[in-house]
Amino acid sequence: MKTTVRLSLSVVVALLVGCNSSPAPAPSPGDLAPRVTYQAPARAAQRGLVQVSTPQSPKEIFTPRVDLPVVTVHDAVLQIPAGAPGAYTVPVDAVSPDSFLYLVVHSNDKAVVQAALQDITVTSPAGEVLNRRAPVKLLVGDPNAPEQPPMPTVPLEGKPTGDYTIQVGPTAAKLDLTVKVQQPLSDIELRLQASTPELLLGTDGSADVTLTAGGKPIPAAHVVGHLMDPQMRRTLDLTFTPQGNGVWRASGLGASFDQASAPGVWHLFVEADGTTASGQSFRRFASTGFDFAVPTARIADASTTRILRDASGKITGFEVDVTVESRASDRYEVSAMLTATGADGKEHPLVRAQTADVVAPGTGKITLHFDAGYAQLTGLEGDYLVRDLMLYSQGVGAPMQRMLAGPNVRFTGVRLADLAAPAHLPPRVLEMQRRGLL
Amino acid sequence: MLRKACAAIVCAVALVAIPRPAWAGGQGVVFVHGTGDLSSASDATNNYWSSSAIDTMAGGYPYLVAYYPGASCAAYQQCAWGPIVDQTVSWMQSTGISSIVVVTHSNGNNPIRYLLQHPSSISANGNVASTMTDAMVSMTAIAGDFAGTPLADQVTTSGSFLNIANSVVQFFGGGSYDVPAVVAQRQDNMATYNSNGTFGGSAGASTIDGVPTYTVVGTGVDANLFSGDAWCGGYLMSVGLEMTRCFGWGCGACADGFIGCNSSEYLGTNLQADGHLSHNQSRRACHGSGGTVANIVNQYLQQAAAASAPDSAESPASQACDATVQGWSGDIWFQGCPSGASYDPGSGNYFDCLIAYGTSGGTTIPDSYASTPYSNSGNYYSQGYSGCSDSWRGNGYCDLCQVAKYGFDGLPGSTVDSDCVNDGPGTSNYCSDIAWNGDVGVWDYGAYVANH
Repeated sequence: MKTTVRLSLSVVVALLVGCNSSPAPAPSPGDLAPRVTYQAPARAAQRGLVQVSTPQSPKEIFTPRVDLPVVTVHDAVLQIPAGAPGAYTVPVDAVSPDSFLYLVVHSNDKAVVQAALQDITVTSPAGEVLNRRAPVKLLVGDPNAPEQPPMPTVPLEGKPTGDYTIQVGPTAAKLDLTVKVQQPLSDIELRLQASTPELLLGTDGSADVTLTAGGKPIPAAHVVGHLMDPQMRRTLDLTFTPQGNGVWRASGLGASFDQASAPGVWHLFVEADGTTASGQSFRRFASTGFDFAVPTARIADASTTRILRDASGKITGFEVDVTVESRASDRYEVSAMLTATGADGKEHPLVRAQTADVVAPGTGKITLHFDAGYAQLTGLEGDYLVRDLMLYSQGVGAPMQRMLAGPNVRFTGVRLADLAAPAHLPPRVLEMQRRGLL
Repeated sequence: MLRKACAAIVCAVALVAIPRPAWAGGQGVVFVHGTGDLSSASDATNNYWSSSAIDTMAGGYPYLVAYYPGASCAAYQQCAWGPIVDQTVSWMQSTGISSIVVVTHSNGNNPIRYLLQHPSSISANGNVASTMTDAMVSMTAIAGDFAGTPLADQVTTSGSFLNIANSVVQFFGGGSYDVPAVVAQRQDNMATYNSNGTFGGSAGASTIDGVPTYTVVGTGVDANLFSGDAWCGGYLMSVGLEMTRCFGWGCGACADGFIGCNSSEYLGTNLQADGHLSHNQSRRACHGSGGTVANIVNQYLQQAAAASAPDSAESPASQACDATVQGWSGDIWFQGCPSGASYDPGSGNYFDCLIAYGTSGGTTIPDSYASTPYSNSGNYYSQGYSGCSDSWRGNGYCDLCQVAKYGFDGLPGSTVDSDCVNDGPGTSNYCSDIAWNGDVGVWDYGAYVANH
């Protein structure tokens, strides 16, 4: 919003408004902290200090936590790898008008796909072959008309639940095949959740699988999983250990990574199959992800603060010096949110500050500047808290550290009357005012 | 327009300190396409959007059709958002445009979300992201992929869904699934980016870092052979997208054939949720979606123009056509806004107070234009009861009905002063306002000259 390179013209004083800081509060869900940092080659990054201050709408509520993604699935998926011909079963546990069985042949060659489909037969538990089309020669009255390939999409409405047989012939067996059973009304549910959206080398993570039928835990099942790297290549197999109450856990994910591991989003694929207490067999597949990065920097300190005033004594800005310890030259971005408690007793965002610059190996200082004029626009006064302090590598594109509750730095007793008016009102801010967001 | 009468009314010039925005200039629209490596504006216009769709959605404002390697680069990568910043900043600088509405389709919202979350980023050509994001007054995400699509999950795992619907592969950049932008649109990837600080905007929010965000959502696909809706944008594409809707979400599910509603409605304020708007059709302005986008573009850019117009935030006396002045000019009586008067919405008295002060009697212009006498075509006798015509915008006359309607009198996107700028002592303005025509005994639209 306000992008500047700070000069030293502002009068730096602290009069009625005070600053204080104390040891960082307890971690919040979504927090991120490197245990160690690693040396790495310099990352190609644009140089130049950029300092941005952006007003936030005090109508929003600030919550110092990040909800972790949860994946919930009801569909059955069977992966049949290329290999020998054979018969496979996939359980269908709920049938409705929106239930279909899909055959996905892993090829982008239309002729190859059609030949493979000709070589696959889907049979219901009642022995009915389901994927044959009506003979064309009967439809068109031409005995020489070519046969249509079998259907890749099989409607299941009106068909029985139970184990369906997928017969794969020698032509189809040359290719990987995915069988997907869409059954949105199934009450057998698999939930998958990773313990973090960001795994830093040197830290650990886990993933939980929860299986329920009709809302009740499924006590026994076969749960397996593996990791896929950011390029979707299969890597390490994972062991899921029963935790009781329908929960299985893969622990020690951090041990799977080293400095040579590819940065980016890794995928955790999970397959589960078994039988419910009522005797219904099931099969489920789900995937979730987490970003992996090698931490090359950390926040060493964020306790030095300043209050900037103009010549008339009005506050023009609140600043926090963030000391960054770097072991790789990179463009590092530090951001944080200034918040205050409203009359409703809830915490509201006021101003977000973000500053980025290249930090060479060693120690660097990145100063966050919160424009006091933008804080004035929010109409909130009292203690201003520094929240959601984050260190982010713009070279890698990954967070290195995050403290959602902040470093426990606050500017106490701020009065609106002491704040200077904003020096700049770009279109975005004017629009926020006009929309009643400020 | 026909000028009924002229009179010399001397307007006082008040030299007062007027708070002004730190910027002023024109308004425009930036279009950002989804997955696909587009190499020029014409490539993006012709092979992703369509020129007619762009024209419809731009609402008459100047526009930029951005292009970038939107398949080979994931949205968070500099090679994706960098060209968008470079093109936008260059366009703004060369045209004087300072306020922009961003319109995206599909994955196109995600490079913008990255920029809003990381305004300190710098493009390869040295442009700072905040130069663009500061100018953003809103974003409209058409069929926005905020949370990923199960089709990306499928193709990046199996390498194909060729036998389900090959016709839709173009939405993954032309057929090669092994590209960063497709992997990035996996649902597990997007869940990560949405929670680890990569992309701005949280679930259910109406703004992204304060920027109002709107959505246009296809909730279903019409593939009925006998439906005109199904043919807009190409019938075979509609059939293919209905098949992928069934495959990805279920045939009765809320999805446009490529993006599920859980993704397209992940955040933002919905403007249109349409069961006959496939993923292909929404980028082609089908089924009224182009008009929906144009409406929100107009709403924001007119307001931005009013806020930035040099004739805004002026004291009445320093306005080009001081509407506080009351008096006869020949047979024409200008009502004005005498001291102590106020607009009475019930009787219509002292409507010039609205012009003079922007708000009076609880009515505010231009928001309440429709309820003011300026919107009544019956008050435009000598104009053939035509009402306040948009053809009068920026024509050299300061039409106070345009001030009531838009807050200023200038052409959309124009960077020059509007007609209602007071250029200071020694200058004059031609002004037009609703006035009483004593000759024929009706309210009319008359003209006068304001000398400064």
